[in-house]
Amino acid sequence: MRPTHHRALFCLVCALAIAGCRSTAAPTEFTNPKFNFGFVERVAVLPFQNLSTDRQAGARATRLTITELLASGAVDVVEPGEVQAALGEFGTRVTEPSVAQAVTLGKTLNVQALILGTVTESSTQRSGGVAIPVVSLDVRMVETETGATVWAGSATEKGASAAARILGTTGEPVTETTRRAVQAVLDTLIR
Amino acid sequence: MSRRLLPAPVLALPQGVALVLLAVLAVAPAAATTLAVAPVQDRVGNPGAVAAVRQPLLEVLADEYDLVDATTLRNALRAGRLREIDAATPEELARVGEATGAELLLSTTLHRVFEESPPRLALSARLYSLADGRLLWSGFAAASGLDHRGLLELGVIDSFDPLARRLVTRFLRTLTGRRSEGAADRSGAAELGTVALVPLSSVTERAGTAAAAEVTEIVRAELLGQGIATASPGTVTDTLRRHRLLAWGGVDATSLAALGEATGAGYVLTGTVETYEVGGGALEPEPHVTIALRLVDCRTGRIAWTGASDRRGWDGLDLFRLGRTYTRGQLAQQMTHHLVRRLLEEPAGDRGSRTFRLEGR
Repeated sequence: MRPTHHRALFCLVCALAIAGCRSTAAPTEFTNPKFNFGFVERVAVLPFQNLSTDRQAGARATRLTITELLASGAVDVVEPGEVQAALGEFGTRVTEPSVAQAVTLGKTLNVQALILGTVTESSTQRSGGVAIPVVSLDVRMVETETGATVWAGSATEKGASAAARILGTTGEPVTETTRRAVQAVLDTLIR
Repeated sequence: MSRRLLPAPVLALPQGVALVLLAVLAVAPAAATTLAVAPVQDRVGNPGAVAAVRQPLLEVLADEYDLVDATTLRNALRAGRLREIDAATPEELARVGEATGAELLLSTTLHRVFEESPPRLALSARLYSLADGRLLWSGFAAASGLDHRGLLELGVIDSFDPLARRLVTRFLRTLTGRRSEGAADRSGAAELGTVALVPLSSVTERAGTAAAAEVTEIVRAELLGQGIATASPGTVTDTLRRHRLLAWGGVDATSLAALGEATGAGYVLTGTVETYEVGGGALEPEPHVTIALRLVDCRTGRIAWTGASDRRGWDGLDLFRLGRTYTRGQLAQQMTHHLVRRLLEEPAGDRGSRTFRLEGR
């Protein structure tokens, strides 16, 4: 076989591998340039809303966000039981706190910001015989003095490697995909 | 030599030498510990399965302990209005001890039963000192008739009673061979001090309460098994009830302070069961379990450690079904074992686990 054929074959294999890599949208973000993020030492992560059909998606994303924030060392995170107790004081189920509620939560929990999120998708797609988890998250930070949103980010991750697609094996567990989505979002907040 | 009557164990030899038989001088066997065995708590509504578990339980324990008569114990429990042994306070347990003369009390719970072939079951047990209400030992075991399946389906147990007998016999070995309470296997356990386990919460699709209760017992058994002093569940429950606090999977500042004071615990361990299901067919069941745990400092309220694991029963090497796990309980035990090890050690490379240890911030 001529060397040109070797090069062509090599390029084809590379192209296929690249095409088979995890395809994810780049995270989008908003950051309020006037807010002093150094002021935030302690945050409360509210239970994520879950708009997907995966019943555990909200709890999973909430738990992973807490872990990733703690692991970053950037902020301290309130114990979820405290958050539940504080939300329970409102009497009704709070998924999106109002400005007044955000300020109240800040004082009750002694936090400078709240982390709120929504799992917009947590599903499994099928590509041939491969099950590919897909997770999309929207996360935002609300500072508790004025209730204003000071940061927002969103990310989508798919959980199948090129090897899985080529070899037809199963993609990664949805927990791993969710974790990468959380990391992608938080990478826009914590630098 | 004048003849005298000698005690039987004394052998008269010539020249006036008497040899006392060593058998008499041998130390008399220590009196067996008195154990009260509480009725098996039936979480599955299957009296037949309860009987199939209780019978071998009593047989094995009778070899090691003096068992309190069942009627005597039942009367003592009724007099103390005790329906849930594991929610009893040390004072209530002490009254049971006084009424029965028992030193120890064993509480057993049957969590899951599946009698169709291949059968499955899961049970847990806890051993209490009736003198001071301390939790001395906790164990959990789950089994499937497929656990010892070999080539040509040899080794499969296809009926419930033999499976129950085998499981109970194996399970009780960890009780009778238990280490002395308070012995920490690892320096991390000694550093951690006493941990209060708050029952886990559950967000599973089905039977969330049962899943949370089962995994809570798995975690308890693993904590004690790895030498971590664990607060009595009765004291934890009583504290949470008296303060009308969150009892499942979450603690706030008030409950942390109350638990720390009531149990002497420096930390609370709690968490969530996110997945606890079994797929596949009857002959090829595939359990899927996701557990997340966190350790909270009672004094500061800060999260000191988080760990989570997400695994399926067919993860890992799967040649000729070797390495497969067929029940949720067994899978959860393996996962919890690794998580608790990480709580005590640096993180290892277990796939699907993620841990964090907060140091000094």
